[in-house]
Amino acid sequence: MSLVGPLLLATFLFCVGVYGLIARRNAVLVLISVEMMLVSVNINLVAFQNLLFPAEAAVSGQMFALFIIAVAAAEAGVGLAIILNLFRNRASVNVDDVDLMRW
Amino acid sequence: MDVLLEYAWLVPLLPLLSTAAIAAFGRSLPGKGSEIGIVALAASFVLSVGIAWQTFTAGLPEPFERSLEWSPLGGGFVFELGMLVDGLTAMMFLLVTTVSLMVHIYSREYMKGEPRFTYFFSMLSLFTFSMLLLVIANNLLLALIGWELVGLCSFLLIGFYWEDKSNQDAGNKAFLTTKFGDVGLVVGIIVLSAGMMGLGSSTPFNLQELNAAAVAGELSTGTIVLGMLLIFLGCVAKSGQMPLHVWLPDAMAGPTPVSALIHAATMVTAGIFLLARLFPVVAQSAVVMGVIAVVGVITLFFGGLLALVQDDLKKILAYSTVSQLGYMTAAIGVGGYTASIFHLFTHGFFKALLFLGAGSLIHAVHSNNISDMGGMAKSMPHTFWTFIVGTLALAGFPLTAGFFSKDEVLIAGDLWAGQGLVTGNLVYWVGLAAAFVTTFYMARACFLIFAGENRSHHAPHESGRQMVAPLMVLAVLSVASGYLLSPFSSEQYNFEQWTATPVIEELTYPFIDAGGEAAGAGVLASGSEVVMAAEDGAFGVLHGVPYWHFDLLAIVLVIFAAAVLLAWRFYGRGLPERDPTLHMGVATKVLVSKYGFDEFGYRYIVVPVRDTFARWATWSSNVVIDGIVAGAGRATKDAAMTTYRVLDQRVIDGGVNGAAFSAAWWSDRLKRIQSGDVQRYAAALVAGTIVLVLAIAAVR
Amino acid sequence: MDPNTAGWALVVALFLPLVGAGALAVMPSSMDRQIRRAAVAITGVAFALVVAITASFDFGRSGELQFTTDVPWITAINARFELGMDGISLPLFFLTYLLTFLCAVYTTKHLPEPGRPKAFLALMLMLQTGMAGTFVAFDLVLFFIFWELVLVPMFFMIGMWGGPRRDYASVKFFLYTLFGSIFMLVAFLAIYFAAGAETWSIQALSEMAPFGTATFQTWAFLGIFLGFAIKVPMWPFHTWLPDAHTEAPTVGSVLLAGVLLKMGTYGFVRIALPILPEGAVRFAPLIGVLAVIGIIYGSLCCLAQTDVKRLIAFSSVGHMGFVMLGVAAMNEAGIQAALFGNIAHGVITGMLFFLAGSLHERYHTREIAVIGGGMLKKIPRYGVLLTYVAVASLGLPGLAGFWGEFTAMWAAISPGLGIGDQYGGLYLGLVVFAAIGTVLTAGYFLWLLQRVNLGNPPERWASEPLDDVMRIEWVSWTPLLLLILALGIFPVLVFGVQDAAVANLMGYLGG
Repeated sequence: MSLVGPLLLATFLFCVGVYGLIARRNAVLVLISVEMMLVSVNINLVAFQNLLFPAEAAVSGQMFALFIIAVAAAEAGVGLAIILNLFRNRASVNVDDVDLMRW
Repeated sequence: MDVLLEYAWLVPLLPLLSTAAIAAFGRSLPGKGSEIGIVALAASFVLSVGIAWQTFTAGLPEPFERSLEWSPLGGGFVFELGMLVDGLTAMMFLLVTTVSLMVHIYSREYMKGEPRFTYFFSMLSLFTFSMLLLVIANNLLLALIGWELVGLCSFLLIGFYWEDKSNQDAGNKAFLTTKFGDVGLVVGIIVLSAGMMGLGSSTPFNLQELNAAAVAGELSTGTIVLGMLLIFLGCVAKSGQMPLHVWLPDAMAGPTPVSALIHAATMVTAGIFLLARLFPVVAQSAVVMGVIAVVGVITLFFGGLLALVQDDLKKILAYSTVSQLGYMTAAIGVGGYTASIFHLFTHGFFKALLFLGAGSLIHAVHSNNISDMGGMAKSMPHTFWTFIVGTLALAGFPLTAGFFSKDEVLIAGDLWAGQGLVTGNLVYWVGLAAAFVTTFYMARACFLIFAGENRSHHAPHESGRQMVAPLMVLAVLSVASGYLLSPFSSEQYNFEQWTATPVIEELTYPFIDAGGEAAGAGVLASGSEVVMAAEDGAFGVLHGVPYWHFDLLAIVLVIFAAAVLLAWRFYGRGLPERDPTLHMGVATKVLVSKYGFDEFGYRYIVVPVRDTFARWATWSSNVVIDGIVAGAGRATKDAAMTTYRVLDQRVIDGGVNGAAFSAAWWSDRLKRIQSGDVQRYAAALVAGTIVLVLAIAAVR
Repeated sequence: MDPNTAGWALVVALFLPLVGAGALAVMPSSMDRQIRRAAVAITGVAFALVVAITASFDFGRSGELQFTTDVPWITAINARFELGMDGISLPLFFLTYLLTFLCAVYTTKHLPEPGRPKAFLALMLMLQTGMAGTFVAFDLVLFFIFWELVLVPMFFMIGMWGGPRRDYASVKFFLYTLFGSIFMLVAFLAIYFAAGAETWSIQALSEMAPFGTATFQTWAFLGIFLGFAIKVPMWPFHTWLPDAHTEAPTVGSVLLAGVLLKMGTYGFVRIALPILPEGAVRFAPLIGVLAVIGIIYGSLCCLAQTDVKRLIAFSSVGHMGFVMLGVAAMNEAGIQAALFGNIAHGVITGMLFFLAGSLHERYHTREIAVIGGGMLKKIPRYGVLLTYVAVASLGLPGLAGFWGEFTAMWAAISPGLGIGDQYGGLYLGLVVFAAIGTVLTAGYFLWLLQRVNLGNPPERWASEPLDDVMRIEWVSWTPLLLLILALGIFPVLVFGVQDAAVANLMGYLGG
């Protein structure tokens, strides 16, 4: 099985994620971008598992992917909670408005 | 029977206890503390008389020394608390306690009504203690302690009326000038002690050991010359030698009894005393002796000249003290150990008398100026005759104490000159000239004070008994003390034998010993000329009781008469300035019409001496030397300001601050990266990752 | 107490203040008066214990360590908890407890803004443990910890209760001293590894000395020199001192002058000299020159001051110059002089800072020109005390200041360990300049007295009711006043105690 397809897909997704992370100003979209980057990593993990250890029973690549999905879900939950709070206090979900940590 | 000598430590201790007692509960006593001081001093005086008698009749014993190991100083060296009692100590005891007792009694009346009466008596006692401590010390370190305490008391008493700025300044000037001399003293003591440490002594400050080592030639010449010249610097400052005498006239800002006690009879003699104590060391070096003699000669002459132009009676006496101290110093410099301390002894009495007499006059007319006095002989008979006795003694009138002691100095100079040493000639001839000056200014003062009309705005009356009695006692002593060493005194018991020690004996009269052989050590024995001269047998007269030097007597009498006559000429009829026309008229008439001599004398001798020379001397004293002192002070202050402002605050502190500021500057730049923008951080993260990946790839 | 076995006494005395600080911290802040009394009680008990220790100290064997404790502590780096006390430690240790006690007594009535006695006194007690520990620690690591422990409380004392420029002064003090101690720490490490004996014990290292190459000795001494010289402070490392002193509260100044500066000279004598004798000999002339520059320079700066407290601070630079001149002499008399000068300066200058503090409380200014004179008329007892202490400070014989100064000059004329052969002329010059320094010292003190004490009080103060010396001031000052006199008359009180210990020390130095 060729790796080219999955890898191209993963790369595309990752680049879209990075672009969204840096360029979008809406906090929800930034969060979604992060999720996309995580998904692209998952694709890589599953693809390489199948290529390198096809006979392995433990399927560790898939296990990793599951863990990452779980963590991503948690992260999304926390992120959304923060964004909700932000919206309540600032009436905005624009990340440019939040620079409390500035010197 | 050394029983009394064992208790010699009581002599200084009693005044110390008295100081504490007066300070503690003097105020609540009826005499406000003065009685404690008088009782303590009287006890010290009685003990001193006993000790003096003991040493006077003892022949020529080894000095009596007792000491305690008071403290280790490290390295096995020990600071001793010890006493050295010999004739010199006993003589100083007698002088200090007598004068101090008289001053204490006198002050009860003189200082009556002063707000700080009790404090005054406490300080008088403390001063007496300090001086006695200096005298009794068996080592230089203990002597230094006494010496510095004397300086402190002097400072406190000169500035007694500290409400006025000028008095404060006088106190500071005295303390700092003498403290400057103390630099020499301290370093000198250290240098000598280093020499003694080199000899393996564990008590390197001990005076007897030091003297013995010097006489035995164990100390190197360098140590002796350096050490003694430095110590002499201390003596120059303390004993009012030129050019460091500047503080002494200013010190007259203190109350008059203080002037009598401190600035005439005792404290200023500390320097002379120390030179006498260290005479065996001094005598090892011709250089040191020469320097001492020259300084003494300059002081005795120029110091005296200054007194000519003074109107303030106390300043006249102050300058005369400078001059007389010059005689004592010069005598040390020409080998006249006995002459020097004999003059110290008699001078103490008659100068105290003169100062106390001056105090009595000032008390009566409420002014220090002789131009405000006049005609006091009638209203103050006792003060008058005692003051005249003191004046005669100071002028060296035959058969007074001053005559015997001053002539002793002159003869010491003459003998030294006989050794071919030019400083001897200087002492002899300049000493004679200064005697003329002394007589002249004292006669001037006496005429202006006692003769003529009363010019004061008060009706003067004789002082009370407590002030007059000390005057009388001192007047008697001003005559009697001279007979301790005169042609009338005993061959066996006299002042010279009293104050000599075996070491001194060897050094002071080195010309010939009993067997006619040349003997002695130090500078005199070192030159071949000296030994040859001694073999001629032309000297040796100074040892023992003096005989009448009729040639000198004649000169002294002529000088005395000339000076008194000259003074009488100008001042005998009252204050000349009061009627200048008459004064000038008489002078002009005498000079122009009668003899040319008078005018010549007036114009070319009196005017230059009284006006030009004296003014020059005053000017040099007040402007040049004082100016240097003041300039040094100003320059120091400027240097201090500059050092502080420029070097300390800018350069050194600037460097310290610079380090801190540069850290702050950088942090200010670097903090800007912390923008608080999440996406910038993310971008930086991504960029960083890419760079890292590329870097790893490149490396592989 | 048996000085051979009663090591516990020293430990208790040392940590009692620290425990006391904890006890104060749990008292509610509202119990203002009780807190102050508790502090007096704690320092009082500690002082009493130290008096008992002093009384049972075996003066016949003052050269040996007594009241020792020696247990393993940080085994990983071979550091031990080693305490002890000999004739060199005892006077400084005693002075520390006395001064802290007097400061606590003084604080019952006087405390600068912003008050808060609980924090202030707790810091002071911490400081006490740090200071006292430095003088009895015989393990380099332990020494260093006590040394650094001192910085923190003093930083807060200056920074919170100080004058207008307190922030600047406290930071400067902290950083400057820390800067020095870093080099000191590096030098300690170098010594540890160079000795190769896996011990930090000062005694053991002293006995092993000299070790290492000449280069090692020089560099290690330089490091230690920086640490201690800043603390002393020697010229030109002194600039933190006037700022710290001027801004510090009265009690802080007293402890700073009375004890903290002594840690520097003590360190030189206890650590730098015996462990690095060759380096010390090499550095001695430099130390001497810097010391004498400090004497002259400090006095000149004093002449230029207009602030009483700053003047006293600069006078410390001059006085510590005499102490360091004694160290530079490298002989027994010199070390004796340095240690005596330490004690005398602590007592006298501590007292001067008490006086300066009280001056400020009365006049609300320390500017000499504003005070304008007449204190002897206005507040005579205070004026007399100022005169007395100033005269003691300018080195009058019969009072404490004299012995340190004179003996230092005396010792410096014949420096030990062969330095004299090479630098005899230099040292003679040093003595002469030091002696000139005494004149300058007399000059600025007399000038100060003239300007604040003498004359008539200016009009602005004439009608102002100013208190003369108050009862609490008498209580806290009398011991110091008596000590100034006692040390002057009985120098054996310090010289005698130190004698054997100093002789031991010079034994390590080969002198």
